[in-house]
Amino acid sequence: MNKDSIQDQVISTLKDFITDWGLDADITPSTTLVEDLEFDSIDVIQFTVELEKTFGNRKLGFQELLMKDGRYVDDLSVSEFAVFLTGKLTTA
Amino acid sequence: MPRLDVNGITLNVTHLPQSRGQGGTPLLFVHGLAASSAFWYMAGAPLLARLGDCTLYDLRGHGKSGVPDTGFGVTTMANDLLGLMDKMDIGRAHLVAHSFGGMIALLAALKAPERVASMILADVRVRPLQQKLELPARKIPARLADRLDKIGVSIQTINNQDDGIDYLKTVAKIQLAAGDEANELLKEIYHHPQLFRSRKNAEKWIALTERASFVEDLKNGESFAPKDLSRLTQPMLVMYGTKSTTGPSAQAVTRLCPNAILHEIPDVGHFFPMSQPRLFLKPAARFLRAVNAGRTSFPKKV
Repeated sequence: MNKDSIQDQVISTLKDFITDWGLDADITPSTTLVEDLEFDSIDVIQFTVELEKTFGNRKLGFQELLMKDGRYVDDLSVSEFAVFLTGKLTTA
Repeated sequence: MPRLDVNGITLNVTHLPQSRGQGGTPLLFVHGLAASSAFWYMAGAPLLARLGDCTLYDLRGHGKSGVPDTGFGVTTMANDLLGLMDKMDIGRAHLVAHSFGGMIALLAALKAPERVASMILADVRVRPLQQKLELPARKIPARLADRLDKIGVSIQTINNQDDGIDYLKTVAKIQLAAGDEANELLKEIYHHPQLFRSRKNAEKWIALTERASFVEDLKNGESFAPKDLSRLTQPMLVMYGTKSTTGPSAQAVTRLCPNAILHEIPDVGHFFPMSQPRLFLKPAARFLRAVNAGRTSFPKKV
């Protein structure tokens, strides 16, 4: 599994996640969850739970991505998720 | 299962299935005032899912759960918790609670002791045991008075606060009004940066605290008496940060509950499970493994 295919799966999981939100947003690698899709922190964690299902019901340690220095990070893009997942899935 | 109707309200629920083995005692996480289920996710609930199914939910009035007109007292919220367990077919669970969530967990355990395998109370202020909080903002530098005044917050108000509800309201006001200076001001006053993730969250908290029923239910609503706690015989891990104001609650709970262990965490404040997840997770996991292995008695202090 390479970064491109992981990124495609992140995008399709994200599309499914927001399917009934009534957003008219084109999801690209640079799409950000908070700024572009108006995610709040609960949406972010529920999205990571969906990603874990997509990638084989594995715990992938998303807290490492979502927290920095004891604080929530402000925002994350699709490609940042893909890079994180690529690191996790190719080194595990 | 993001939304479940429980006790006349819709609760937002996140379920993390057990990630190693199966059949472990489930864990149910209860967050504190002005927070949401995201708190416990960031504090490492996914790691504790190695031990059993984890359920995280938003309290009524919080996160993505419904906001009713009334019914914000501990009793109603303890009924929400037990109703959620019914709805999800959770017969018995470990309860993991932070801050105000601990009041809910304690009352739920008093109402249905057979359904609570153990409790982890992280920095919980127990109102019947600790009526007033010595909030850390008692010594605000006078030079901040003008700046606070400009944004409509008086030092007098801050100095008179002795309750988490009012303290969180001041934090929300400063976040909304101080713009780029909010972090600096909050660090000077409360020794922590912004707490609310967005303007919307801060506005929602202020709106809730301006409802008469919300404050009345929380401050004066029925809960339990100190002596009731001696009936709680479940193993309990009572943790608190030594920089927090909830130490007196932790010490009193440990004294009253026969199987409670006190665990002090040096040099951390009220939000340590999220700001320093490892300091929370290690003792929590060790405690839960011991309880799952059938251990029922513990030393009073670790």
